[in-house]
Amino acid sequence: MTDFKAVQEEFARWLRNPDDNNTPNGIEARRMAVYRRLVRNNIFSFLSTGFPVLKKLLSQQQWQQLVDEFVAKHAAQSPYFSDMGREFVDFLAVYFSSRNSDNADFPEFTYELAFYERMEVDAQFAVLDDDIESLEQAQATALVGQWRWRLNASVQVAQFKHPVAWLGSGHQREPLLPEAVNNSGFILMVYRHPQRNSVEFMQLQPMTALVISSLQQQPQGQSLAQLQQQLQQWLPQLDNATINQGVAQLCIDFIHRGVLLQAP
Amino acid sequence: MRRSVGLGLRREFLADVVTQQPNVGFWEIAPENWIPRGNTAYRQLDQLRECYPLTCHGLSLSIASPDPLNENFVLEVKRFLDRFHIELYSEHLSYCSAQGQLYDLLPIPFTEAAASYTAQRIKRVQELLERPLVLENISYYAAPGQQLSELTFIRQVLDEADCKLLLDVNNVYVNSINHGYDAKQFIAGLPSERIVYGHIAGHSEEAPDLLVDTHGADVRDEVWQLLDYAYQQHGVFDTVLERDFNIPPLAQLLHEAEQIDGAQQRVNGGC
Repeated sequence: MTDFKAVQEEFARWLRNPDDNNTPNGIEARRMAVYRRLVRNNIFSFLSTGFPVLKKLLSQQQWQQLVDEFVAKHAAQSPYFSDMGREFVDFLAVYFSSRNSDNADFPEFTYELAFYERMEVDAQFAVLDDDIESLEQAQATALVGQWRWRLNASVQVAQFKHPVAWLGSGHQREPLLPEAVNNSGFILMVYRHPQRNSVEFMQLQPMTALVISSLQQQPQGQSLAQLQQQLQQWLPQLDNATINQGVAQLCIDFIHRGVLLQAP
Repeated sequence: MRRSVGLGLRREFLADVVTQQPNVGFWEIAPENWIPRGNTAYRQLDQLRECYPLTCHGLSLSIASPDPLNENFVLEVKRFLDRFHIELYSEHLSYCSAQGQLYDLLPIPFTEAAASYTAQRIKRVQELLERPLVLENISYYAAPGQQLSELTFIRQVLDEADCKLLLDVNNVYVNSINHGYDAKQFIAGLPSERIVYGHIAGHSEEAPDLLVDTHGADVRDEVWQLLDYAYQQHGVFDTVLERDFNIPPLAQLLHEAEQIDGAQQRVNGGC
């Protein structure tokens, strides 16, 4: 390695972890402290904005520990500041991959909550097509069997052990913690409403999650009949009439909510 | 105000800018804050672009990083510049990543080898962008591994890379205090023909001999005087007022930007 690169690496190593590294050669401590403060404050500020619930539910000491460990250990690759939150979630996946003395005191839900809060950010900034509209219930009912449907591009679904969407009472409409479904935990969908521009979430039943999954596999869109056939294949234990009726009802509801949009 | 006075665009006053169309020569934007934002943001930029010229001032290129150059990112910037017909893309003579991002501007060791390394990477970026890269002299609070003066280092990079300079007058002032050199001598030593445009901003005082370039306060009198001096030395160049923290109402920033106009007229009037 060329000398100047060694100097840069040493400088960066100290910034990431000043406790375990020597102050770079010949530089006043108060000058290094300016850099440490700038780097740390900037990252704290971005992550505090991106993970408000997690920050609120952890103790101040725990939050600082996570951010400091992120700075110290994670090699973030994206040049976009808006990706810093995703880098943080990637880091937490590694940090909480096993229980050890460093992370033993953190709540069980820490990683899952961070993952969920990032889903909300991704939904907020997902690129939606222009001029899309959700339909009134009556229009949705009339059109559900006629058009082909695709998912709103901001839709994301993930399964959680913990009821992360309700933690920190961010959602006042749902004051009670819901029940986990069939011991499979909580299947949560997050999306941005195309007109209101607000980020919404829903807990999904397993059959609903299958409908979303089918639509995710067919980005060009599916008709109601195709969706019903797909679900019949995936759920042979249920009778077809029940499936057909369930899927139709679900689609009308999703069209109305702006989760399903007319496919081009 | 003249076309030669610009302001750093903040999302906080984007709506006001589009509806009120204040008297600003051009707006400077950070491509990193817009590229990932999708069509709503792009529509806003299209509207803005119809009324004003835009320049780009990047943050994350990390031109002097020991990590490999992120060529995909450079190409994303190029697509963005092309999309909005933006000619000028400036960045910092600095690095912000070493084994991953640190998201802040770090001081390049002022050595001949580092200057050559940086110049090679600038050439590659210019090739990919099919545009000149304009580089800004940054504020720095420490000079690790220094073997050359800052001025010698900058001149070597500019010559070897054959690139342009964004002269940040506030940074010159901050560095002259932090590292005990003569700000005017530094400015006089820069090559006029490479200066494309300038920046001016406020800073904060950590100690009498340690200033920090915060972009969070009004521009100090000493810095305004230095801007006059820079115009006298190199001729008037387009200049952007930067403000990133403690952001006042747009009207107040516009008032401060008018002082740039005043400085430019003083120098031109004297010719």
